[in-house]
Amino acid sequence: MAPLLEVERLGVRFHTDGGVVRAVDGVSFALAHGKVLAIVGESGSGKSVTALSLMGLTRSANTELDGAVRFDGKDLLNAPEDELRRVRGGGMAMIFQNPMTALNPVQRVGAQIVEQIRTHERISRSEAWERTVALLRRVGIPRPEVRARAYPHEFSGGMRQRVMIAAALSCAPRLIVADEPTTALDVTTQSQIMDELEQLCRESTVALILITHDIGLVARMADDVMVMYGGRVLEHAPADALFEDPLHPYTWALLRSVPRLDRERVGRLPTIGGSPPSLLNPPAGCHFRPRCPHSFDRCVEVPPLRESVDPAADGEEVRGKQDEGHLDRCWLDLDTKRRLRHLDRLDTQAVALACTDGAA
Amino acid sequence: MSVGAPPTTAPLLEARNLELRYPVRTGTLRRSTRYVRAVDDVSLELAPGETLGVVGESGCGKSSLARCLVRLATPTAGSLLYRGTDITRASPRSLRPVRREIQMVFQDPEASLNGRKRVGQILATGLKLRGVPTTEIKEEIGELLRLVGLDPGHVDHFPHEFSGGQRQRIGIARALSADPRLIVLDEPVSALDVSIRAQVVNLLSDLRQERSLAYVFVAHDLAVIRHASDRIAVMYLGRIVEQSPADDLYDRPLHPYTAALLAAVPVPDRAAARGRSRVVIRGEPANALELPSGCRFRPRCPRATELCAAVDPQLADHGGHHLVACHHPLDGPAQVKSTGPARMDGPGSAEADQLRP
Repeated sequence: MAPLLEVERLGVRFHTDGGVVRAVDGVSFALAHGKVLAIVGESGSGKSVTALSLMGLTRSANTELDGAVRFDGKDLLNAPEDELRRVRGGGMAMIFQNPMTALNPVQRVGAQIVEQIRTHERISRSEAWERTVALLRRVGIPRPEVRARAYPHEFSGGMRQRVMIAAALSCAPRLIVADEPTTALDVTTQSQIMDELEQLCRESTVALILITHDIGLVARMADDVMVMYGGRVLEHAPADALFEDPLHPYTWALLRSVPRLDRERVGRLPTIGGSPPSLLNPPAGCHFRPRCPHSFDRCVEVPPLRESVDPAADGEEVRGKQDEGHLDRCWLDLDTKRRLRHLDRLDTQAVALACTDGAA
Repeated sequence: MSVGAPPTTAPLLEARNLELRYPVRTGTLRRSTRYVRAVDDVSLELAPGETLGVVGESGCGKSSLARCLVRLATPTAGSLLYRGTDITRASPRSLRPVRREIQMVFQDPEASLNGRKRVGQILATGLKLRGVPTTEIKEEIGELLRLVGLDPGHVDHFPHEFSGGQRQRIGIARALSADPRLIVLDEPVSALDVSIRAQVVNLLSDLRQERSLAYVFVAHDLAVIRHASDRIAVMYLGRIVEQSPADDLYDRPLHPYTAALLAAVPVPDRAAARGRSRVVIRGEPANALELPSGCRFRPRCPRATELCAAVDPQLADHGGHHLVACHHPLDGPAQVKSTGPARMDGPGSAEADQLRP
């Protein structure tokens, strides 16, 4: 079956007073029906711009888009605005981080969903209203007949995000793009909302692109993971492979710098020195090079995103099945990466131990 | 009072039954005034050099508590003692020497730094107030910037020329410029990216050792709080519901709310993420204007009984200075155990049992 969404060498450039910002640089991926793709990255990694560009939300006079975005085989990047409007909210829906700014504050929430339904489908107001109430009930809003007549400010943050999910589901989309959907919410609410979102997607085989910086959420939700940094994809792999065998030095440093509840407390958190690159003035070659402890002379060239090359002749045997479709953007060969990752881990454990001893 | 506790130094900061109420006008003509108790009967102690983590969800009153502790807000009841002196209602003038010793770092460095002042000017204020001679101020500023890991060459830059992480370092340097003994940190890393967050957490722990600072570390991130704290207080709707040495809280949560909070944190591990039972509690915190009778967590609690509706549970020690306010804590019926092989790794984990006799 053809993938639901195909993105090929997507590039987004913003022309600003300070110069040209290459926010997204050659991002390619495909997403099958009903799958969950997580895009992880820090601020400025291009993860949100990628998502917005899929929906045609970055179009403006100072934006330059190239590459291709095909949804159901149809090109979206160059589609006329009215065709895009049919797709937005219809075939593809978006959930934003802050529901307070995404909802109209002076319109009752039910009316907003009804309006959306009636934009896409020729049905009567009362039918649309019934569907709205059903949707609100489905996302776990108590007394939906009453609450549909309330204004956004009368909802709590978690309930407002549920309204956003109901709105996103209203026209039976095949893809939902969720940009940091629970970042503004408390952990207990986050847990409830993600459970519901996961269940809704699985029930109606809706594909999900989950944009987040929370590695824990990724571990829980994703089928595939794409790690972005400085506008480029540095690693793209099935989620199990990414967590068991992260191959890009940035990914393994990122996974390690998260303080964890399921491990012993360490004296010192492992860190990544420096800060993310400026996209106005990115470093030559690999964007992670200035912060990478393992960079070498070849890193001034941009490495391709590909399956890691194993120099050994019997490379095929070394590579497990989980390596299939495991892409990363680093010049190091597979063995060296695994060895360095192991050494890095030993280093941080030694440092952590030394600090714990020192404190005792 | 602290029977069986190891000898401790006098507390640096002590809050006794602290309360902060905000008036809320309701009714058609806004005539009736009701009150939200953002901080309700909170008692805590902080030893010199100790880090107390305060954790809770939005609206639990943790930021209001932080503002009370630095006296940015005046508590409506209870008392606040700094090194034995009552500062609950001290006048701005008499507070001045105390203000130097208690500093604060805010969540959003963008909003809490004056965008029209250069870094040097921002840091100079605290130094001048401390009485550093004009001739030495420049040198001290350079020293402060080095201390927080910034380039001393950047003294003439404006806050907007720095990244988020660097701006938070400026916020920390500003707090340090007054040479405090205590810094109250209100969500100091939650606006920062993961890789930067770890840097700032490490910086805070270095500074703490170097300058023997005490911290009150307010955050909603349970993993960061655990990493940074000696002792942790969990807040729910204005109350401290559990307080314990840091490791013990995570190994042995006693309050159902704490357990639910811990279970809700996503763990960056595939197998664990799938295996964990997730939804432990449903719903959202009660409206702070219409608190339920008895225990405030009761409407969401899986263990609630009639007793919970009738009697508001008080904090009680369950051994190892692990306090919980619950009728049905997770280690069985409430009973005061003898102090077991407690994990009292941090200084001052003993103060806890002074809270409620």
